[in-house]
Amino acid sequence: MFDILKARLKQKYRTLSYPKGPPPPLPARFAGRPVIGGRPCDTRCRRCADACPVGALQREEGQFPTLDTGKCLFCRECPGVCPTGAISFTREFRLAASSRERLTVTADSQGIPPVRHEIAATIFRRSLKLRQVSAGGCNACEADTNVLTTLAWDIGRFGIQFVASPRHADGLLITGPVTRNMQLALKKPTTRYRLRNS
Amino acid sequence: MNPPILCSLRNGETAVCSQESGVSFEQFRTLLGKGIEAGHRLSALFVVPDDSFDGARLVAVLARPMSGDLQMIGCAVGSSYPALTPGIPAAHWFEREIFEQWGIRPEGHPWLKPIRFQPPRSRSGGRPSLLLPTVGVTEFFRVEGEDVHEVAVGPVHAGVIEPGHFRFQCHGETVYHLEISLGYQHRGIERAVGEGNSPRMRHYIETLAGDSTIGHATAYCRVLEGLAGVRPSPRAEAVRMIAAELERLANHIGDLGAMAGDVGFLPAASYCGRIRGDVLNLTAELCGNRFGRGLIVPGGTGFDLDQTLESELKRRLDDIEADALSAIEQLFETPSVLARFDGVGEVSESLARQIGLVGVAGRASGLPCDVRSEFPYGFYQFVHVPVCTWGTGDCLARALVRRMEIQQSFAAIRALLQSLPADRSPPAVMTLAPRRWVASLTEGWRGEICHVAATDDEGQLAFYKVVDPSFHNWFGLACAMRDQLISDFPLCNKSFNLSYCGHDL
Repeated sequence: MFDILKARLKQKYRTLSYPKGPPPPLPARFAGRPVIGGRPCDTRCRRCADACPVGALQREEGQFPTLDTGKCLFCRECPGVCPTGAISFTREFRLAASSRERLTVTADSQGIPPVRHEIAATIFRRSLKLRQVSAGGCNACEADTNVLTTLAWDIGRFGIQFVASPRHADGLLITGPVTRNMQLALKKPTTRYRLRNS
Repeated sequence: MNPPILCSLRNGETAVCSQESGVSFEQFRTLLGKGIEAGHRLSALFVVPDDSFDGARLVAVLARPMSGDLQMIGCAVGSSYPALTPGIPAAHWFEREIFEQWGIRPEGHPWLKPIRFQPPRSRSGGRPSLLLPTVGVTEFFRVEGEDVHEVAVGPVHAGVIEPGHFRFQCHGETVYHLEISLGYQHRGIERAVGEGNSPRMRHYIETLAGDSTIGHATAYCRVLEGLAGVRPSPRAEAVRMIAAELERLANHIGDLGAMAGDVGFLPAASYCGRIRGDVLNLTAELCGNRFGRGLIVPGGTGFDLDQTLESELKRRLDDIEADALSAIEQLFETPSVLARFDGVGEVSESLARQIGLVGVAGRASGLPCDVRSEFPYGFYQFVHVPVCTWGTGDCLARALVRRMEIQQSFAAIRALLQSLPADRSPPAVMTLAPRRWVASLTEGWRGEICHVAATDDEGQLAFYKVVDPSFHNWFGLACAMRDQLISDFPLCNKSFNLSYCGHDL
């Protein structure tokens, strides 16, 4: 018992003060939200689009490229091949968007798209129960979701909790591309929710 | 791209495609049987379509720890052949896979059911059959009798984990039998990688099992490097080894925390959960990603360390080590925890050998299986990491092996950071040699990862085979649950902590 208490003192208080305090330091090589433009771009050059392994970068003749962060792997091939430096990855870690279209970054994108919904914030204030379903997730999303519940991040502080059944949940978190073999298992719990894409 | 008939290769060495028809099936079976008896491991067993006629080749990769080499054996098979499983139990999951993928029937296989519920592959290279299997619909093994009941769990579980279906045959609390039915995570990665050299492939491999990104990416890059005859610089090899040991550290620490959580010992569970994140953050310092994506690239590494980062890593590693060892000590000094770990979910050494367990689970049962020392690759050729084994094969043994490996990994990373080779040559350009075969083994944190590949006449990847350690070990979990209490399943499951997507591919 005494040893356990001693170890408890040694391990210290580790819960982050974020969002009231500063966010935890990001690794120097972290790649966050990409920005396009700010520098001239040779609109006939296709090097960035050709370098993208997943086709997230689209290039219309005569325009700046667009980058779909819903597809982007953040592999950073594109800034490496761009001759003018018109594409760069910032250290902005807030990448969420409230609609599929807003995940696409264009030369006109202004800052971070707002995701906070005032009505939702009032309804779910300090109590948001989520059900997570992995449907082809590679276990990295699952692992980092689990990290959110550890004592450092402790999302329980905000009343957010992952629950065991869709019956207890306000929302659904799906990880992975949805495999064919998970279609049915995913449809069953999701019938409780009205899936919206707006 | 017919496989070589019979050859012995070093880990990552290539062999030229053979024009001959391979050994006879009888010879094939005898070679395998004798090899397994002599203490070799079946690292891979698979089928490749034949070049010349409408048949197929059965290929085995035997890992021979005594001679430190891999034996590749090929033989021609028709639409069926006498099953190897009755004599070589370690082949049973492979033969189910062969039947599911290619429709080639191992006659006399005792348990011939789908393992992934994936569409069958066509031997002529055309579109697969439209008759798709329905996942989870199969004949489950059943125990009949008064008071016997069945418990079905999954595919969707209560926690934030991957999907899989488990069926327990119970009498009261006691589990007589557990059947594990997977395939929910099948994405078709293996097949996609075997169809060409697209730049997307590296990213597929990195997400093959997200927690083993370094292990699988290293195996893949070593396949390409072998085929291209390229050697990464010693510095790149050292950085790869640091990344591999960081991956092992993060997962082992996380696993011990999760096991503590499952027996209700919250202090260690909380500390380890946090410390695991700190180790992942070190990997993020290396490459910007907590799971090491983008770090291992064909020919070398995507990122290098400078002096500042080296000393930063050393400093943070010291803090993490102090915290981790103190948290783990709590776990092993609490009698109620030891009582819960001790004697639960035992797999004996002989059973482990028979069914071909690898990695942490194999070593916990007393098998000295560790690719890092048996078939050293990369920087493991210059630095020896001791093999940590235990003999009892229970949850306590799997926890103890992790604890020992955590200590070894800390020491190995520290030693590497102290003496990183100085040269900084960029990754070389890859041109794959045509008509070659290669087998590459690495020791991921779960255990042996085996990648086998072949190139066609143009030097394009024409065949790719991935064997994740979970492929060998899922059946071990089922065996460990026999005669155990069903309430011990979460603990047993965590003590193995196998990958669903690594198995389903």
